[in-house]
Amino acid sequence: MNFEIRREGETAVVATHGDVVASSVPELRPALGELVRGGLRDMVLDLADTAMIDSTGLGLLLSAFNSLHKVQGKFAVVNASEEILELFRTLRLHQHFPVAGR
Amino acid sequence: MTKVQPGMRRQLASAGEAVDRLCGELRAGLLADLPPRERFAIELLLREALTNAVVHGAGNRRAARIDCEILPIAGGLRIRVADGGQGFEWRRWRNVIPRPQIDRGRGLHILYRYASEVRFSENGSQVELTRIFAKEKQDEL
Repeated sequence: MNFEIRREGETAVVATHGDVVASSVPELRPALGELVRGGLRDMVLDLADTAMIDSTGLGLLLSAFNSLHKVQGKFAVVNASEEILELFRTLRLHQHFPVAGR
Repeated sequence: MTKVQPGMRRQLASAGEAVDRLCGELRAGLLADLPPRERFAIELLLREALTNAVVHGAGNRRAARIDCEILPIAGGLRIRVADGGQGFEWRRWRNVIPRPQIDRGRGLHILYRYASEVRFSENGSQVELTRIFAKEKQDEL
C-alpha cells in the first residue's frame, strides 16, 4: 500500500493507494502520528483508490479522530466506495466524523 | 443471477502478507462474479477471521499454519478458519459493541454484523461464518 500526503492550507489530505488493512496499517500509523505531533489540526483521508478497509484500518481512523478531537481538530473521510460507506454506517462510525462517498 | 465457482481450501502461513495474497487470489477468482457488495462482505469476513487467527490464534508466529476453507452453499458462501492456538473466550465478546474512544475490538463486531451465522468451536480456535447473499433487486411492473 502506498500513500501520499499533500497540504491544502491548514489541512493535510492523506490519499491511500491500496487496502487499509492489518498488513498496511503499521506503515500508515507512524505517518499519521507524525502529522498530529507536528501540530496538524485538520486531516482528510481520501479513499478514492482504496477498495478494502478492515477492523485494523478502522482502528487507525479512530485513533486519528481521537487524537485530533483532543486538540479541537477535525478528521474526515472522503471518496469512500459504496461498500466502505456501508461499513461505516453499519458500525455507526459516521456519527463520529464526516464520511463522504465518491 | 449470482454465480459462484467451486470452493477452495488453503493452508497459509500466519502472516499478514499471506492473508493479503489469499484475498487477492479470491478477488480475481472465486469472488470475481459476485456483486461488489457481496464481494466486499465475503473478503471482509475472511480478513477478520484470518487476522484474528494470525494475531490471537497463532500469535504472529510465521511458522504456525492456518487452515482456511471457502465453500459455496445454496444462496451464499461459508468460510471456515482454524488455527492451532489455544482459542479465546468468544462468548465474552459476542455482544460487545466497541466504544468510539477505543480503537480495537471491532473484528468480532464485524463478523456478527456481516455474517448471517457465526459459529465458534468450543475453545474459539475455529470459526465458521455463513453469509447468505442479499436478494438482487429485479424490475417488476
